Amino acid sequence: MRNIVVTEFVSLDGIIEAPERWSLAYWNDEISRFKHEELFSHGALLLGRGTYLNFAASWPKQKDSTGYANRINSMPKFVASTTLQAAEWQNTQIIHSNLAEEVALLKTQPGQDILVFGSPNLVHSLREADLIDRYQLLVYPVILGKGKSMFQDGLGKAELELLECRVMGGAADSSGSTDTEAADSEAVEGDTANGGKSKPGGQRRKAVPGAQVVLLVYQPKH
Amino acid sequence: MRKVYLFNGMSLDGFFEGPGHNLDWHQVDEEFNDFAIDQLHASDLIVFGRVTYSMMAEYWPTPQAIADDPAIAKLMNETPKMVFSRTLSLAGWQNTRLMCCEAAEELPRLKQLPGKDIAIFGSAELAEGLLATPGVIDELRILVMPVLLGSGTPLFKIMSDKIKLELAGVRQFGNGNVLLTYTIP
Repeated sequence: MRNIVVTEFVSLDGIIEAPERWSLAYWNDEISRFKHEELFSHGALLLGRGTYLNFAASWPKQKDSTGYANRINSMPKFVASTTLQAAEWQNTQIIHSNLAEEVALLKTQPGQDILVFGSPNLVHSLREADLIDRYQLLVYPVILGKGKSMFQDGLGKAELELLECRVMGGAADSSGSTDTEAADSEAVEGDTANGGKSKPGGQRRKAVPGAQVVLLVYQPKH
Repeated sequence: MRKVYLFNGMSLDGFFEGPGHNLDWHQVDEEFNDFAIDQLHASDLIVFGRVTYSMMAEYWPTPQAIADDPAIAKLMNETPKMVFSRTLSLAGWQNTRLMCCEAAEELPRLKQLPGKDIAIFGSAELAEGLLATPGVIDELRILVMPVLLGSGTPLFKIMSDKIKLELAGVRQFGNGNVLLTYTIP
């Protein structure tokens, strides 16, 4: 069974529109490596019409030494749209109708997992049909105030399980644990703020300069 | 200088409360309580808007709260508090001052006085106005909970200007909550 993996650049206030305008200043090697491995470990893209059109207008013209552009251009792509007549980006199929059935069918076919970038309306439909298996969110240190949100209003409640929480480029491997209350003082060994008592699953990290983006990975609880 | 921080919970889809002020999706356990106690110990003034104040004032002084969470109840009841409201006529919770002035003017003045940190708990409506005024809130502590509510009241409303933040810390709790701490430069 192939998973549907929604992966987004998102502001603290949940906005995913036009990340090229606000996310690039925070780019670093770890984000680059993560995005590269993500693309190469997934077998297809599933996109909404708007994100598809943006990508189709830009990626075919791009080349890069890492092979990212080559991979995204050549891999199978599906675009969900009731209005799109033709999809000229190579290896793209249009899903015109019965989105939930088509995506459910796609999940049963052999292949690596399927990535969804951007595409807020599609994410809404997929969530409504309970077809999303994973959310991979890169949370950026900005409140944008306006723009298209990742999650739209009007669906039911869904509980999630946190699979991963990591500062990208940050002190993920630091042995001493620090937290925000201790941030003004020296790095604290152990949990002195808590009387040395261990905290279940309590991983605390103090951010380092240049590491501003937090990766959060969730899967729905079933 | 003491700092003013805003602490609030948020679902992954950005709501601080479900329909009808619903907060039953908040996950509270021993690890969270330990965090809350540490946070309260480092604060000597708690600031509220009317709605959060009313909910907390109805809960923390009760025998049930004192039995369920004695340490937090004691701190919440004894720590000095301010509620900013133009409609409340009385703020009867122990150690609370009813403020009818502008929080955006009062908080910068209070920051100049010696003391521990100043907390704003919840109070999304008050916080929204304060966020729009540069230099009032120094730090955001957002506890992101592993749930999609689907509907409710967004923590961050539509704003005309974007606010750049600096990540100051990330803490993962065992129950899947993630505390994101940002300073506002």
